[in-house]
Amino acid sequence: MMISITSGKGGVGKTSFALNLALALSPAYRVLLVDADLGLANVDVMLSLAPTVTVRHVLLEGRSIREAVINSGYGFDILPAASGVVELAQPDSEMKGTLELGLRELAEEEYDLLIFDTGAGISPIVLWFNCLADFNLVIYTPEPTSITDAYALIKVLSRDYGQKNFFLLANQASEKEGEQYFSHLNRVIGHYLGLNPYYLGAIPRDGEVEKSIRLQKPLLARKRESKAAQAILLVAEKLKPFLPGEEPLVATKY
Amino acid sequence: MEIERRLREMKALLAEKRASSMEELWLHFRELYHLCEELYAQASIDFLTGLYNRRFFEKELDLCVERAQRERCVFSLILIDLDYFKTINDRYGHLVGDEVLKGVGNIIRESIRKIDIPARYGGEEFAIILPGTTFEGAFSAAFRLQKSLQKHNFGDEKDPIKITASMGVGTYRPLNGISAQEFLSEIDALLYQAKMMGRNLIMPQKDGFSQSKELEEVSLEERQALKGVWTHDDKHN
Ligand SMILES: Nc1ncnc2c1ncn2[C@@H]1O[C@H](COP(=O)(O)OP(=O)(O)O)[C@@H](O)[C@H]1O
Ligand SMILES: [Mg+2]
Repeated sequence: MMISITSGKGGVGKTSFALNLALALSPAYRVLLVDADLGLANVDVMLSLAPTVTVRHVLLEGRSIREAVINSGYGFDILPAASGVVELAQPDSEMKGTLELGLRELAEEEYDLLIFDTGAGISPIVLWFNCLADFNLVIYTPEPTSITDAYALIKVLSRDYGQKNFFLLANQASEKEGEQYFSHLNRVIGHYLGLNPYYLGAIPRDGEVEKSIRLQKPLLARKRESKAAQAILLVAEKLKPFLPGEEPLVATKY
Repeated sequence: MEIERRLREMKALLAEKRASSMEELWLHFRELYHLCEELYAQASIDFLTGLYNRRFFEKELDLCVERAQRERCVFSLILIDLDYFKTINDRYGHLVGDEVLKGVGNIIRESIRKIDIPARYGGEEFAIILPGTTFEGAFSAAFRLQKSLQKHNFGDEKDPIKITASMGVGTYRPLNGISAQEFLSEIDALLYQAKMMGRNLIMPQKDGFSQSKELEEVSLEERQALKGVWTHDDKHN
């Protein structure tokens, strides 16, 4: 199964969430975190990894996708992106074909879940990753621009690309804020787009998130008891019923 | 202010209705002329064509980018450069050249809406900002302008003067997050391509047509509805 973490607006917390979600779900699930901002690597930097083979070698030099996959050191694997490679910002259809084939193969043979950490904006490659995914997890913060962009992205994906399975997640918001925002946003999305997205909850603003990025160590590996970490663990629980496999956790209180 | 002081001085001189010499009279005329020019520039108007001047255009472009980012709306930009304008100056002289520029200014004014912002950007370079306009809208405006320019005779029946223009057209999309300067360079590069490809051409922004279907269409109504998402606190408290 594949799920994309996406947002429209940049800097809302996609990469830090994707990373910690991967950590929360592994090793119970075999997870591959794909750095889908192909030309501007994010994920390996947040983990202080220095991969020698990246998606660049796969797409531009014909290496196999499995050669690029590395162990994160936290129980899940990573497909690293390249750093500052312009050709990968808008890959052509041949590159996309290679990538799709490789990712589908990995999803079928080696992993229970592929998580795509997409770039910002609505560039063709962002839309492409979202379309490849079975579910689109849209993150927003409680700001006008972030919410408008999230809505715009959902609109484009549903109307022009036929995507229907959306998860919504509020970041840097209290539980109450998150619920209020969702109930309004859900109404607008239902009314204008005829969709019924699934709400995953809110992650509070927490200084530990920023600290983790600075220390290049995932929050869940550093401060599992922090507010943000607890909220992320809850989100992971809410996602489990959607994941493949005979996981007994499916029948929990959610 | 400097200009106000000079204006008051001129007014006083006129009230006295005297000049000690012809030379002094000419000096007054010249001062008046300079004052006019400076007032025009201050009013952000290009003296020759009556369109906005470059300074005003650049300020306005900055504002449009800021507004687009804040309100998540789009606007478009057309950059226009007259083809082989120098040959007109060489062949007919600068006075005729100026008349052509004025004529082009009029045609631009006639082919746009009231909300659009037309400017003379350089010697024979013009620019039009089209607020709230998607790529299709801007492209068809450029197309209309191209046709009107082609039809117009800037000379007379015996000696017709025809002129064409190269153009670059693009839409500013807030999600791309680029600066006004970057956006201007992007459209300027299109204009350059139009020149390179043989002139009398409109060069559209890459992906202009395909992207205009997307995102630009979060309608005003939807945006109003979305406002409820972040303003609900005000209603409750
Ligand atoms: N819950 C949170 N609390 C505090 N800061 C956060 C939170 N989530 C994200 N941030 C901060 O936001 C910034 C952007 O996060 P990042 O994950 O890189 O976003 P994106 O991948 O969407 O660009 C980081 O500096 C991070 O510290
Ligand atoms: Mg990121």
